Amino acid sequence: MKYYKLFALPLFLLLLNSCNENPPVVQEGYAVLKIVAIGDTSLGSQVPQYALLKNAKVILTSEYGSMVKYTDEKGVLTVNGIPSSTYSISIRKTHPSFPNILLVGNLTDQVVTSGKVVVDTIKAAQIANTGIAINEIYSCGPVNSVFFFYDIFFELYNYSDEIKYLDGMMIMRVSGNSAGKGAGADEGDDGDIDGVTYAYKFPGNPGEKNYPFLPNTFKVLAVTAIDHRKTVPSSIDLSHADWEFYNQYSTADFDNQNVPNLINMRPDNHTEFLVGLNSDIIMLSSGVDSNWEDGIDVNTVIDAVEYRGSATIRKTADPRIDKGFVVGPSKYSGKSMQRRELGVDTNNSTLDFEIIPVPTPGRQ
Amino acid sequence: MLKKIFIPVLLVVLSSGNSFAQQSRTQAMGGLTYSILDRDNHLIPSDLRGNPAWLFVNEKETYLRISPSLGNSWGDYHRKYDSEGTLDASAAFTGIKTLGDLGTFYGFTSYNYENRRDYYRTLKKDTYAGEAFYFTDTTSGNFWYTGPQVQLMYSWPVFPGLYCGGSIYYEVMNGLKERYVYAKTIYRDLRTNFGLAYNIAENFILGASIKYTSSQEAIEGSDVNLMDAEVKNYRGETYYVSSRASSVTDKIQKQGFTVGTQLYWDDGEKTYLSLQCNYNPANTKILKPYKSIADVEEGYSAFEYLDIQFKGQYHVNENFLLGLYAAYYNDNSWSRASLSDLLIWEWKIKRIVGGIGSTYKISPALLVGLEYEYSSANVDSSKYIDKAFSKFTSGDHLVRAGLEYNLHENIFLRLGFNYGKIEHDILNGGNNCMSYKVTGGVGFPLFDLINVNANIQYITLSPGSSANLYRNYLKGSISIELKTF
Repeated sequence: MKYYKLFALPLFLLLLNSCNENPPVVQEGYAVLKIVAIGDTSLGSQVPQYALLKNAKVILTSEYGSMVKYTDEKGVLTVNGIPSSTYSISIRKTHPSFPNILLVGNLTDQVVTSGKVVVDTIKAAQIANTGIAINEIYSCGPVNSVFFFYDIFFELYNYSDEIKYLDGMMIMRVSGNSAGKGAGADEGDDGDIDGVTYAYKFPGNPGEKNYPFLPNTFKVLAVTAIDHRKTVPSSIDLSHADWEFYNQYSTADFDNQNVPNLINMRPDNHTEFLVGLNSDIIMLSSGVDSNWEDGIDVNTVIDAVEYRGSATIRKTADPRIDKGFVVGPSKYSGKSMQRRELGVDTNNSTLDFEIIPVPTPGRQ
Repeated sequence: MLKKIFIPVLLVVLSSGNSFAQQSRTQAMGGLTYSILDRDNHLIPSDLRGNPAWLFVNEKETYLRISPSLGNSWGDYHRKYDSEGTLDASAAFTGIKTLGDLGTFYGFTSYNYENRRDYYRTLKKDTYAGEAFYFTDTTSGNFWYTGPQVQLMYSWPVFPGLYCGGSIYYEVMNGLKERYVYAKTIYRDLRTNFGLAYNIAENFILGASIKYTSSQEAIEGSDVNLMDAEVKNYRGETYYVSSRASSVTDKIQKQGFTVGTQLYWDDGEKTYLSLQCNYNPANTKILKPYKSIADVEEGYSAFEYLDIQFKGQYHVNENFLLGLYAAYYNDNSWSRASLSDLLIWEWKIKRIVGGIGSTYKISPALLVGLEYEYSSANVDSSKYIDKAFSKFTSGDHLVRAGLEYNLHENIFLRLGFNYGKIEHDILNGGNNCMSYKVTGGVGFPLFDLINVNANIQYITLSPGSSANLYRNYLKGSISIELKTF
């Protein structure tokens, strides 16, 4: 009779194993996010005049990547069923009266949970709508063990629908002004961005039309426009770059005769346009204010990107040129910083940029 | 929509057939299952659900069986993450050693090779295992899996009428993708099984078994060009979290129990009946490394399988055998995103199967058989995160036909044919599918000490909506049985 008890063993183990976890009570996919987009449409007034932004582009960024949506005719975006996560939300809309002004606003760390309705308002502020954005910065160096990092390039993108002209525009490294507010800040609050370390310019003067930049195209600005793979195999070929930084005050700077030059504006600088591998500020301006010594007029800044080696490093760039900063890739990792969405510039590099595994000069 | 979730059922069904049942003969006869007398296809519990206790009574002869096999599949009718085609080969060795009253020992080992051609993005070995989680890179490429399997089983009589048995199974497999992200997989699978069988009465057997399974698949991807490896951890089919690093890893851990009971009765003359019931709770954990110090649970899936199967045979006369089969399957699963503790998938499948068949000896040399099966599956799937919901019923028909012709003494020629009509193919997603299977084989002795059975099968499956869409399978195996070793 005792052997019958042996058959109870499987039943016992069955009971033991029935302590399975219970399914969650809440189902994914039932979150509702409602965003009301308003923008400051005032002109020359110190008092903001907010209006609902209809058909504004809304970029939702979370661990699941980016989604692009649009507000309705009432300036409201309602999204049903997005996955639960912590979202950063940006809105972007051209000023209803002046297309050269962009209305841009952000909302960060917005927790969206299934089963709940999140309602919030984003206020958009005015920034210059230049049509040109810094699209990619590659500065950390390729994967190598000889500390090679000379394959630096910057990529511009014309996100407008019209031809832009690069004549006289300036591109700068802003890493000086170590005292006070720091690099890229408006020291003295006089409307200038201070701390320009290197300043190079496109040939010609602002307003001239000799160097067209076609809509929806890229321009690659290489520090040295050669095939760097011949030096370090894991590097990249920049011999076909659109522009090359050339320091005419240096006796050692290589010049690729097939690539037009960006010219050094600082005679006291005899080095190449080298930037921090994972921490620096790159700024593009119209060139109308070329006096870099007292700072660049913030109104002439077309785009600027601050990148830092760690998320905990203090941000120094003036929020009018960049509200956030990119956490740059590790040194010698071969990675690059690229705008998430082509032409989506919300003036916040934290939201706008991502790290990509390999540089992509001349393409997204 | 439910093409992802039937695989677990299939895996359970496949694994339920113990590996020592080679069934080469019946495979060559169109897969006749319950209406044929076959040594490897008994109704007794060891073959019903791998109860090792019955090995002692089931196997009375010592032999060594060598079974090389080769298979290939191709065709565009497949799921998103399936390979374009698969080439698999294996060499298996099965040995039975009877030790008299001390019991019976069973050993099995095989070495398997599998080449999945153009395996689309997925890095998991069993992509469609019913979980709501996929792990992919950005390329399709060939994947190789190779590795050995070992199984040991022992059964002995505790006292007359009570038999006890246990088995242990271990498999190790290495996987390698030839293209970015050059994923390397280390897969191990451990199964232990313990069973009892008791002769309650002369022809009445009660069996019980419990099986524990534990497997782990560790996947590591890194680019040989020292670039970053980019992978995507899907939660559901739409949303994913992207990861980039010099090396990316993922772990899939599975464990489960199967508790089974078996009943067998015969009247000692014409009627043989068996009934079995199995309950199999299992779970899968998707683990991601956290700061190189610990694994964090990214996702969790729970499974619950229940099946009740009845088989019966009735010998109308010495030439005519009638077989019956009925089964009920109830499978449930849910998946959650562990960090947010939200339910993202839930599915249920209930299936009933009924079958009838017979074999008839037309002449002393010719045996023919025919089986018909109808199954009805109720499927209810809710993929909350994907906003994809489906609920349907599929009624499927399957006809098996086979014959065996005794050419001369112990030399046999075997042929078979299957026709299947599937209303909704929940494995691959098509509707009104047709399946055809043609089989053939031979069996003959060599030097009175060796039995050779060879079979070949060709299967084609296509949805009714497209004549040019199909999936083909060609498989062949040889079973060389040495009567002594």
